[in-house]
Amino acid sequence: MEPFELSITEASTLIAKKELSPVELVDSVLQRVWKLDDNIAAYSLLLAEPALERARLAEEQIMTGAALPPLQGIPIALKDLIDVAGLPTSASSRVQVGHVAESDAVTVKQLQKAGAIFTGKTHTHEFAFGLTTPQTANPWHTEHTPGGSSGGSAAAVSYGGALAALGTDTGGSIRVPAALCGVVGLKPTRGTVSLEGVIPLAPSLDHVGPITRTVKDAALLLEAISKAKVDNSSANALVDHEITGTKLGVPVNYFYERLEPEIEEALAQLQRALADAGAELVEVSVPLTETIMPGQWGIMLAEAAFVHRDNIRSRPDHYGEDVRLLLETGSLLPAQDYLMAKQAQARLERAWTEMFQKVDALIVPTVPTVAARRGQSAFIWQDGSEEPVVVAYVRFNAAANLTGVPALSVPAGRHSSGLPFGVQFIGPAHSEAVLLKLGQLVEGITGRMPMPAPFAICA
Amino acid sequence: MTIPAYTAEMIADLANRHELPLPQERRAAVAATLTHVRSFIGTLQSARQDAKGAITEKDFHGTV
Repeated sequence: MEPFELSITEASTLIAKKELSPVELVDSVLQRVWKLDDNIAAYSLLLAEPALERARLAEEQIMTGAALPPLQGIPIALKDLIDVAGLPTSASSRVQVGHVAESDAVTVKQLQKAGAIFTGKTHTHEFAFGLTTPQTANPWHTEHTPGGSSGGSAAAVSYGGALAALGTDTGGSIRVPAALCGVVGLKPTRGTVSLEGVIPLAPSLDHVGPITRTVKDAALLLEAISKAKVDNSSANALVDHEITGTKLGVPVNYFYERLEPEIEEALAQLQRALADAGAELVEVSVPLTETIMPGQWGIMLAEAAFVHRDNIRSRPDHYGEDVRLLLETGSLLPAQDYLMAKQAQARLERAWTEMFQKVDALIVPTVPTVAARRGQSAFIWQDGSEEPVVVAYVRFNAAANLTGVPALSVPAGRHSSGLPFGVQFIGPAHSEAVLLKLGQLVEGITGRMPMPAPFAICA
Repeated sequence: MTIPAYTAEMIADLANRHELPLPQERRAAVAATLTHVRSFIGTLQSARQDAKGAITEKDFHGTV
């Protein structure tokens, strides 16, 4: 196994035993980026020399025998919405040309304190306002999208261009690309991770979270970037796989509709396997699902238009066409529409809190189908109906943003096309430990997702 | 709630009131998108009426 293929947990163990040097690890990751990223374009800014320099310093520190922070020498990528002092935050947009961040985002400071080494900034759908990340290819097949908006982060982690990455999620933007690229994505409970120093999309829906290769790595990264440290940490909760008595809600409405049959079958198998492992499957009628998408659009459009109120008026032609149209539309949305959506959000949150008194988590697909072709605008379902790609990717994800509850996407298998898909666990606020435990069980059932094969990358 | 089908002329007027520069060639697309989005958000009104119990100001979150 090459160093770039290691998980954080594996690499940290080898580094602590002095069997792997941070320089060797970072160099391996950079070699991988130089080999593949011309075709994938996960990175908007590669920090090769600074990363190697940090790796040399990390190595010196290790040789002193000093106690090591948890992510010592681990190469991590940052979505290019997250500020690093002295570097541009491009948001993958011409609007940001010339921008240089004056200070580090809180999460950047936390990761640095934990010993992480930043390999660079990764592409986002422009200002995180989309689900495809057009600049970037899916490492499993370069003619397909990696998803978005954290598409660069998920692609980099998937192909070995970083051991982990930070993403942001306003309507699925961590979980969707994680599912489409075959990696793990965690949207934490609202308020768990600081948004300071991150360019907002819709502030009341935005979240920052980890994208990793394993569930345990997601737990480690979450601990590093959480605002509060808790005794019963997420990572500690993974020492056993005990889920006996866990009530796992299987929705009878909404979440299994308009779903690729192969994904539906894979999730049915996972449900049976989790039941065999001790989970109690409970059929759930999920409340107020008809309010999820209109609520999401009403809030996201209005808040994004507010965030961009100056630039959409002073330099509208600097935006890409899709984002420009959404911002112009949002700028004309009446306040009553926004307030109606906020009201729906509050009702949904209350109804979901009640639902989670009956079940510990929901098991649902992350995406209803695999990665679309780049530039594809809609899916055509078996009944002949058409659905825009953005709607298809958001509809199983947005409720967790509206209600603020945590949601974890874990690779659940590969479609006959060869493209990966994910299973999603959604739980009540601060139930990350339960979700991670369920996710780790899925990893045990499905096996660890391999790296994309070189032939697929070159296809 | 009935949502008007926005025309390019209505959008020009709205954009003017919001001091939003909107070239003529963009107005039809914005009109179609705003009509679609507002109709979609408008479905929340019927969802609210179908729900149990009256909705009051307490249903709003305090902050954005």
